[in-house]
Parts: sequence; C-alpha cells; structure tokens
Amino acid sequence: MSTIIATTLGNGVKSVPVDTVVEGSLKSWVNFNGTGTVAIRDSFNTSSITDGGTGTYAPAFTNAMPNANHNSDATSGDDSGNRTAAQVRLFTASGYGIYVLNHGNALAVDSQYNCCGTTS
Amino acid sequence: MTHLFERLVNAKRSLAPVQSKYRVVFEDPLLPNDCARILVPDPNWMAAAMAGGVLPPIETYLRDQDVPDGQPKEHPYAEPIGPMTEEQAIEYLIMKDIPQRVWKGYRGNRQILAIVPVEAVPSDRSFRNAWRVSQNPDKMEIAA
Repeated sequence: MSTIIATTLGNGVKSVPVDTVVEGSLKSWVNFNGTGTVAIRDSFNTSSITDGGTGTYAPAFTNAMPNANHNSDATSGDDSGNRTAAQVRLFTASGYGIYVLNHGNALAVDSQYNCCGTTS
Repeated sequence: MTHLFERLVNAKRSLAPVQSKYRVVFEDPLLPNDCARILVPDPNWMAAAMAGGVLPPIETYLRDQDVPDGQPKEHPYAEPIGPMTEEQAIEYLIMKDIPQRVWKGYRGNRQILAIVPVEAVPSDRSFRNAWRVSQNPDKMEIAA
C-alpha cells in the first residue's frame, strides 16, 4: 500500500487543506439555538440565519452552491422532551429554509438544537 | 489568489468566532401579512469580515443574483476585501442576505428595516408570528 503525503489538494483553480478531506467536511453546516434569542453555536460557510417566525429559519451560504439542487439536511431536538421534526425546502443556490414541527400536534415549534448540513 | 472556499477553511481554522452585538429586524414588503424576520449574523462569518482578506466585494454577490443556476459565479473568484468594522459588516450582510426590495427602493410609510442591539429583540418568543418591526426606533413591539 502506498501513502501520498500532501498538505493541500487542488485542481489548479482552487485548493483545500488535506485536513478538510481527512477529517471530513460538509460544504456548509450550522448548529444553532432556535429558542429564546436565536444564536448560532458554530458553523462553516454560513453567513447568517434568518429567523422567519416560530420554527422557521433560513441559513445563507457565504460561498454559494453551484445550483439549487444541493443536498441539505436538518435535524432538530429539544431538552424539554418535545419530539420535533425538521423539514428542508425552498432551496436556492445561496441558501434554504428549515421548518420545525412538533411531532405530537404537527404545529410549528421552536427547537433548541438545530443541526444542518449541505453537500453538493 | 485563493478560492473563497479555501479562504473560509483557513479562516475557520485560525480565527476566533465573534458573536455580533446586533440583529437586523425586517419585514418583506411583498408579504405584508408575514411577521418580522430577524437576521442573525454568523459568528465565524463575522470573524472573517472583521479580519479582512476573506470575503469578496459585496458587488460580486449582487451581480451573481442575476447569474442562472449552474453558471459560474463571480464571488468565489473575486479578490478579497480588507477588514470591516462590525457595523460595516452588518451593512454588507444586509445587502447580501436580505432581498433588495427591503433595503433598496422601498417607498412605503412603514419602517421595515432596523439594525438593533441583541437585547432589543425579545427572548420570550410567545406570539412570535405576530411580531412586527417597531415604529419606535429603539425597540421592537409585539403586535396582536
């Protein structure tokens, strides 16, 4: 078996540190608190989140995706024990929308832990 | 010159996040019955904006809004701009992430956009879907 040792990988136009590949990285991700004063805990390639109302959030990318057909997922959870489900829709190349619902009554609900990731 | 994605990777590794002391509250004039929206700046983005050498000029994002899906965009390949103050970064973010109809050319009587300190946004989200931009410039109100 052979090992290639390098610090960056590139194609002549763009490059990334090898750590990004070895340790794994989505093209964009964000972890935020959707309750109280909405705040982002940590992220990558995210410029902002727009809080659009109860359980409604919209992350925006810093470096846009090539088109609107990216693969963005979201999960949500809450210490209170509410069972929540996150929907993802309204895709654009520069962001997407997240809609969090209470599993019990199907109404929109704010959730404490929202984790979203994007590949393309 | 490096690609924006590479600069973001390096910024993520080297810059400490900056939690903004501001939020941007706005209403969409196309959706007058919708509640106010609140733009929350990302702390890693804010760190990159204030450090400089990472983000492209805002004009490149505005021009890219007219580029069809799948066509090459300008902003990832543009020369990065220098450091911004937190206030300048918020203005940049408004132009980048809020629709132009909100911040450019709006001719209504209502104030539909406000940059407010974080403390001015209620942390109690009861009746969140009834929030409107306060016409008192110092705070938001909860409208019934």
